[in-house]
Amino acid sequence: MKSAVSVVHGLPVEVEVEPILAWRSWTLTGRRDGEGLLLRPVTAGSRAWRPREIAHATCRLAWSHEAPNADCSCGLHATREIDLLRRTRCPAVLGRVALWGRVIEHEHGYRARFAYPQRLRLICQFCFWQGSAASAKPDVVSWYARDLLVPMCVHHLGVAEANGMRPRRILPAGLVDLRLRETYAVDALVI
Amino acid sequence: MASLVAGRREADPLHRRTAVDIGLPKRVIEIEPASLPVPEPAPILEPSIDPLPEIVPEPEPEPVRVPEPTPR
Repeated sequence: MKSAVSVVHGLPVEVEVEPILAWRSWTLTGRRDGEGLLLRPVTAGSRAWRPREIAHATCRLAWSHEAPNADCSCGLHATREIDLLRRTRCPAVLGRVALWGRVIEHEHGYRARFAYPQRLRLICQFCFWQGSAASAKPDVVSWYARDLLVPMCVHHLGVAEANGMRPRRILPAGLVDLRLRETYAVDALVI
Repeated sequence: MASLVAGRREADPLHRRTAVDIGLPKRVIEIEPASLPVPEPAPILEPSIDPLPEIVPEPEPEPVRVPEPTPR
């Protein structure tokens, strides 16, 4: 159900009742035993998406408006197509998110006031950059300083170690992937 | 390396260097879902066994009075 009701900053406003589903990626942190998993935006300094809690957009640049604002870049970002996420910084988790509240639709994505992941999957970011999400299945999750967790395939683990990125601990990707879905109470993302 | 940034901030040099451009805004959608797509909070697990009964110390027995021997 939708209907044009008004105009905000020259943009038409419509009312709907179904959340929008879109693509998004995150970095991942957690303890060395794979517990305490937390999805974090790829932009440094942004607030983590906490398990079983609604992600709520805020604007750091202007306290005078609620996010998302049509004249700002604030809001919880997601893309219409998955391939656009291949340009994001250090993606460790790929997912489908539900967006609701005020949502500003852009040509290639969205900015929303509220969001929560619906389906999640770990990815090898190096395979994702070079190929596609479908071929980015990780074998292990490397645990680094500051609790950073980086899913990798065996090949790229070897490349990382050869270039001085030796993980402090290596966890099986299947275990972390399962714990992540249990933590956020979501389904597996099948691509 | 890049992060997601809306098209309107392309003029910002910092954002231009790191942006994945989601393009220009097209419309505003106000979405009020009938039910929130968020799982319920994790249940707080109750103990599955009854708590142990409080141990009440038995009262000490009354001292037994020994009758005084009667003189013969």
